Amino acid sequence: MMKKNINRSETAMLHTPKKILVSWLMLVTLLFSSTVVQAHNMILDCWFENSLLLGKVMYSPGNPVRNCTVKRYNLKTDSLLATTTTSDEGAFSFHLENRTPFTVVALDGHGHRTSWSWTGTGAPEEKAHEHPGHSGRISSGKIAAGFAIIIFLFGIVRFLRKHYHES
Amino acid sequence: MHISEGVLPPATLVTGYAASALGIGIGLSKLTDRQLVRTAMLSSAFFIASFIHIPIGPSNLHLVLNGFIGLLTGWNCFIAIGIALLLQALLFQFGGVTTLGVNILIMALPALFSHLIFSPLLARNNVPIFPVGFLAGFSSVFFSALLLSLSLATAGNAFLPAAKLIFFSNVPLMLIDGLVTAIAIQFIRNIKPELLT
Repeated sequence: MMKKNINRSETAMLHTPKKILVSWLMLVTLLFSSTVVQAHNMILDCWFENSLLLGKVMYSPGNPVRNCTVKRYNLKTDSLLATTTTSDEGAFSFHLENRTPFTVVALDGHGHRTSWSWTGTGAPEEKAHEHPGHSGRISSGKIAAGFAIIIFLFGIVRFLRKHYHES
Repeated sequence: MHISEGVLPPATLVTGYAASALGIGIGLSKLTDRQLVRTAMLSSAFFIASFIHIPIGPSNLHLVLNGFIGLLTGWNCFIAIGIALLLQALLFQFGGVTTLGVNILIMALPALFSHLIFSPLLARNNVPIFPVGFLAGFSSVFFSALLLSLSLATAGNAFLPAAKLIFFSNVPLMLIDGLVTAIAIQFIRNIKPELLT
């Protein structure tokens, strides 16, 4: 009886990698059924209009981030130049006294942080609608790459353990 | 529930890395071949769960499932969650590399708590599985939100209101994660109960 149980357990162990492979393939197939998925992330979009820097802070599905603290720092000295909060639409603005290089940092108070920098080179208008922070849109390819790396890492651990036990 | 780069002070970041490294070390020492496959699967599940978001009011929440992962992996939850968070940071810039240790600790410590408290209950046949599963999922997110708030509080007084706000804003997620964990555990009990022992 005991032998039978052990055999059954061993058989289950042998079948497990196949089941895992099939499960992973199903998961990856499901992921590729849509080209793009959304992620919970924060997007900071800025652009210039005359002497104003206008911007909008959103979560990746497009929801505005309300009452979000937005700070503008001098890019070279890291000194704080101005602080504001976003409106109900997630919008904010800064009056620019001069066009010295700066970084805009948005903190939603939930641990999310994103930033937007203007280095001062080139015409400011050319930098409009830049997204140096998180893109907010996640490609299925990267998710598949993540799964592949997980399989690879655990495969290495399994190989090393097997090699260690054999030696 | 990821803390981004540039928010926390160095002392908190170092503490997070040290505690997480300890947890991963213990996890690796307890990892068997059979648990390895399960840990890899649940690492994948945790990796993908963060991409499923639920719109709530002006914001949105994503599933954490750390209670569920803790119940099935025990100490190996540090490995499963650690690898998933590392990949999320490297591939999608969720959280960050400097905050990785703190983020692992925030997610994995409550998962381990869930395993230590609720796994013995699940192994019994006379305990109703749905409420236990719900409590495991609920309490894991509860303690994760608490740890997240405490971590943010170390960043200075300016973050104290945010720390309080973030805790209460995660209450819906506690309920949702609790429900999903309860359903998943009930399903596992029905089809493959040996996973819970």
